[in-house]
Amino acid sequence: MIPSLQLTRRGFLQAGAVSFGGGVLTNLLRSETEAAGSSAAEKRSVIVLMQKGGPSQIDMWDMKPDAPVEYRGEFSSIDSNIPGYRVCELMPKLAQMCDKLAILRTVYHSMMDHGEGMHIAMTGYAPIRNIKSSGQQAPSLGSIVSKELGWRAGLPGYIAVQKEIGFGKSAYLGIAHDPFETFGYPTSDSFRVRNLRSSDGVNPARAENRRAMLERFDTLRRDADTSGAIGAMDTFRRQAFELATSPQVQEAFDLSQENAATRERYGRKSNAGQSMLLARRLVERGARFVTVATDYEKPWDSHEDNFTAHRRNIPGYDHTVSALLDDLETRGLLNHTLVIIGGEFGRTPRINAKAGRDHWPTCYTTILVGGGVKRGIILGASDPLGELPKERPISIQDVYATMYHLLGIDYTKNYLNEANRPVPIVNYGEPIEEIL
Amino acid sequence: MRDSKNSSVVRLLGMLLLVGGFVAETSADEAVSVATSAVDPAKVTLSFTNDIVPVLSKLGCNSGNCHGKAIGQNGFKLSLFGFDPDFDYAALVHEGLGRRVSPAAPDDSLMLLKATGTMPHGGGVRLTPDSESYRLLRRWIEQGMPSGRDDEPHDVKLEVTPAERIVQGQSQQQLRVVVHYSDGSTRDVTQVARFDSQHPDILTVTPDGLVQTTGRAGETSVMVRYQNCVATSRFVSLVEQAKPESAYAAFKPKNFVDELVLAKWRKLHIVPSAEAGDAEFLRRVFLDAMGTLPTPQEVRDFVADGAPDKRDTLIDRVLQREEQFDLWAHRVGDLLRNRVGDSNGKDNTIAFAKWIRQSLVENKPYDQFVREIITVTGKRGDHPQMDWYRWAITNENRVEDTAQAFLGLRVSCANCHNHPFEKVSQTDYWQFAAFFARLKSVTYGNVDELSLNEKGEIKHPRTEQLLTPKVFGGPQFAYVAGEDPRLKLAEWLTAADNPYFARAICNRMWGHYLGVGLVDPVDDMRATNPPSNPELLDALARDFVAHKFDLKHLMKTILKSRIYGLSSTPTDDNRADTRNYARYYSRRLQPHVLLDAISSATGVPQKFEDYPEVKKAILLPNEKARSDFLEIFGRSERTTPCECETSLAPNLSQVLYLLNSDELQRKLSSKDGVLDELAKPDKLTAEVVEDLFLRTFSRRPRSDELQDAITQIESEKSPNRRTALEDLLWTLLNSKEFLFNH
Repeated sequence: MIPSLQLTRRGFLQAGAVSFGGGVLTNLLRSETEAAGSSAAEKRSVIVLMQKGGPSQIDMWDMKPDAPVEYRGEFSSIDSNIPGYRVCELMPKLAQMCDKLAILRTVYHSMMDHGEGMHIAMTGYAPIRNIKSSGQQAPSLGSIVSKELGWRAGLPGYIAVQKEIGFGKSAYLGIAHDPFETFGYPTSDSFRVRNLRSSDGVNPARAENRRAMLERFDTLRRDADTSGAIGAMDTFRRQAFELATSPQVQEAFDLSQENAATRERYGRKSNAGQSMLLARRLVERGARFVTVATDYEKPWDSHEDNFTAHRRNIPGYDHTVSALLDDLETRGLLNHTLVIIGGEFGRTPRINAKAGRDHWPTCYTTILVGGGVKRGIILGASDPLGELPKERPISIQDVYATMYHLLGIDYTKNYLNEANRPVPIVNYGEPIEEIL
Repeated sequence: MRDSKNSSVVRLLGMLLLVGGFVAETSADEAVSVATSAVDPAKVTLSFTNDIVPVLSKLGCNSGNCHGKAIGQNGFKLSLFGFDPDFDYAALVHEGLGRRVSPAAPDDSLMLLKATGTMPHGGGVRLTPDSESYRLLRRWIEQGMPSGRDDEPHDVKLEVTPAERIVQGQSQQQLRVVVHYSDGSTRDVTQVARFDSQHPDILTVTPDGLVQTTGRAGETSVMVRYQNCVATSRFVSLVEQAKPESAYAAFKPKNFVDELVLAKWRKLHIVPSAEAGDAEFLRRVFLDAMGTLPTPQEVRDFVADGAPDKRDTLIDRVLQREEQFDLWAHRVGDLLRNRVGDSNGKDNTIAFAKWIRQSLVENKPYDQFVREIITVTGKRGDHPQMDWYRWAITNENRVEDTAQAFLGLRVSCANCHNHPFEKVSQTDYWQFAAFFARLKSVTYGNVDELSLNEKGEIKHPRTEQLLTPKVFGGPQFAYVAGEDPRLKLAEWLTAADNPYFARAICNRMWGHYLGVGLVDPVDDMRATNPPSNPELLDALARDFVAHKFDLKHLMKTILKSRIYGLSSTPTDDNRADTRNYARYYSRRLQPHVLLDAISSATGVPQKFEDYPEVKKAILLPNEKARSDFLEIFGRSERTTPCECETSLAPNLSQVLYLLNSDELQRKLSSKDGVLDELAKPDKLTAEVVEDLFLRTFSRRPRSDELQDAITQIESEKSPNRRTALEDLLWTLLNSKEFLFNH
């Protein structure tokens, strides 16, 4: 239950390797540990890039240039580096990275609204009850990872850059597995994780003095309760002191350590880009699961004027996502970092009367990269209008079964919900064999 | 205690009973009479519902991870735990191209070939051809798959013996299970019942019902299920020897609560901790009853008071204070989920919160309070409690909220299938919903008016049959033109003999003051989750009803008991106790209470930007106010009536907040707080330290603590005296003695 603070040898090497930068030595050290027989799954991390609101797959990854005009939209397609596969003209950088991606073009579920869509996208479960009255009803992906695998390298098992994206909490797993949220604005020069270090008015000497006093005055017996809360409080406090005083952890969250060129590469003014940079720093130092809200100038939810919104968003998306993937690759992190890219659903292939596109969970695109996923795969095909899966439909549960499988988590394991019902981590999903 | 030879006798007899349904006098500890029908078992026509389905359940075929899944398994679906025999009959006999059963050549039936692993089976080998279950299934197929008669008896009650046992150390016990049918007949179903240990670390149970205790001390039960019935067999596993009567001499019962708890301790060989000290008791009562810390002066006065009955006097006084109503209004607001959500109903929640508080101030009888909520009609302006229906939009919400909030029952399972751990069927669930069927539908948002339709029915979601209103385990009602069916529901709900209503609120109140419900969790009362002290829960409920549902009387009964005033420090004779109140169980302060405690200890009130008129967290009318603190410390989102929505579990963010947050540091360094006064140079350091201890731990410092603190503060020269005091107060606020009620 209580995450372990043990710094594994591998975690130490990962953390220690940082100071050498992303160069050859880092990679040498990594491959050495891999060779040392530790399982690949144990080493993996996940970054979720959530395009909340729903990006338009038909304007980005599943283009239909031959479809009638009321479907195909305004954008032209360009060649990608996979022969015969074309993507949106606004994604020149990602177009040249398709050989690293597994592009799932036929992901589906049946949640038509944002709330229900985010619920299934963040938990793998359709809400049983009205979410407006009943809230989150299953634990989020990250909470499961935190519960199953715990902390690593002195970092919480589930970190949300800024705030959790929505339905990202622990539900019946207990608030110990809520995400650790950074708060703050990563684009700001004064970005700081909330409460990670002593308040400004308290200098290090004073903080140390306080800590020593707490040791002396905090004497309530650990066995005075029945729930284990007292002991858990002590454990979390130990971890909190570790976080507060560990230079490695402080450094992991410290974006100012990145040089100007790197920060620029992720889009210095892009909240999504700088959040991704922070996510990279974290997984580089052993964080297991990090979520990033991937928003740009306009909401992805383009019921009106879809093309203006996407014309404004896609270049930022192309720039930042490609920067992250490239950076992960260069640093040798991509092979054990699974990046999941997508929204809670896609958008209607047919353009509506307001030049917009509406919600479309029936067939949309999610991209998996790295972390043991095969590279350069385009899986599933939609029908000529892009409305329904024509070949290889992939349920959203399949996507998450794949993720858990890669992390070495038995996705058929059950947890009891509030009604004592055993609920499997993933219901009705199987890992996608074609990309493993 | 049964030896292994005897238990095998029972097993053998069980098999015979299963096959023939005839009698046998077994050697069980407490003999159970079994119906007699001395006919040749092979000639008895089997019943699908009463003979075959239980075997499918026992073998696990219809469990939630096999064919009982909502979409079945590999094209073969059964109803979950066999709750729908007609469906299962069709699935076995008519579907699968008829290959699942083959009366011409029973052994070639797919269901037997698969279950024995003769043909590949994802679920593995479930039975062997030489087993009784195999012979039974085979015989049913051979008989041409009789479906059973429409008028055949159904199961009404399960009886397990022994119902309760106290064992010492590692030992064994064979259980016997008898089902009672609607025609009065009984049958031994030990072999086909399903057994689950609630705490495998205390005892394990074999599929045949042989219990083995591990030698670990504790109380637990075995859950027994058969068809739609459930029962438990309760086990108390002792490691300690019986205690001499002198061990209990110091404990002088004050009321029936104490008597019944003491009886349990004797039985379990537990000895209570000593009485808590005065300061500890005062702090506890203030926090539990009012969500407030005592002032330093209140601590001093109480400790100095020499009256022998000062604790009872304190409780009488506390229960009249405004803060008492504030605390309970908030807790009841959680229970009734007085919530804004994403609606624009903020003003409605404020009015509802006021109505709740006013009801408490008037000490409105609890039955009346609940009736006024359930049966409300008219305009919201006249009836602020109508807001309860704002989140009880659907009939499902209404059934589940009513059941969980007022009856302590979690019935959501029965929405889709019979409750696997309680005798609440899907039909019961939807018949309960029928009480609400004539309410004019309300849409999401604000409910401004509630009225009735002349017509309106509920259909059973599976059979599509029109349902009449019926309470759990009670009579059916016909719809009467012009009459609100909810009146009948409320009448049953609040009747003196309702088996759930009074017990549910007594248990909830007990859980609030004692930390652990007699039934735990407090809103999960069911046959398979029995109370730790059933006599006590019954007695509390009886007393509560006898006193006309008087909540304040109930509070006094609990708070004035001797056990409420026990120390939280465990002894060697009660360290393992977690359910019998041999000491006070410490727990973290509730989120709103903790925030207010920090504000009062620092003397700096909390500000809520979006609720500027609210000066204390406990006075917030709903879940909505923006507050990092309340979010981090697990406030209820009020999305369900579940007690579990308010979390007292710690996590990393909480600890980081207390250690490092600017918000807390601002309170410490504020110019308006208590430290400004205490830091003045004319104050004696010893007095200042005492004051800070009284404000936080509600006690005077021990001499070593005092000395340590004085040294710490006086080693710093002015102006650093102020920061030294800040550091001391920070330390106290971060200490578990502050964060926990103990």
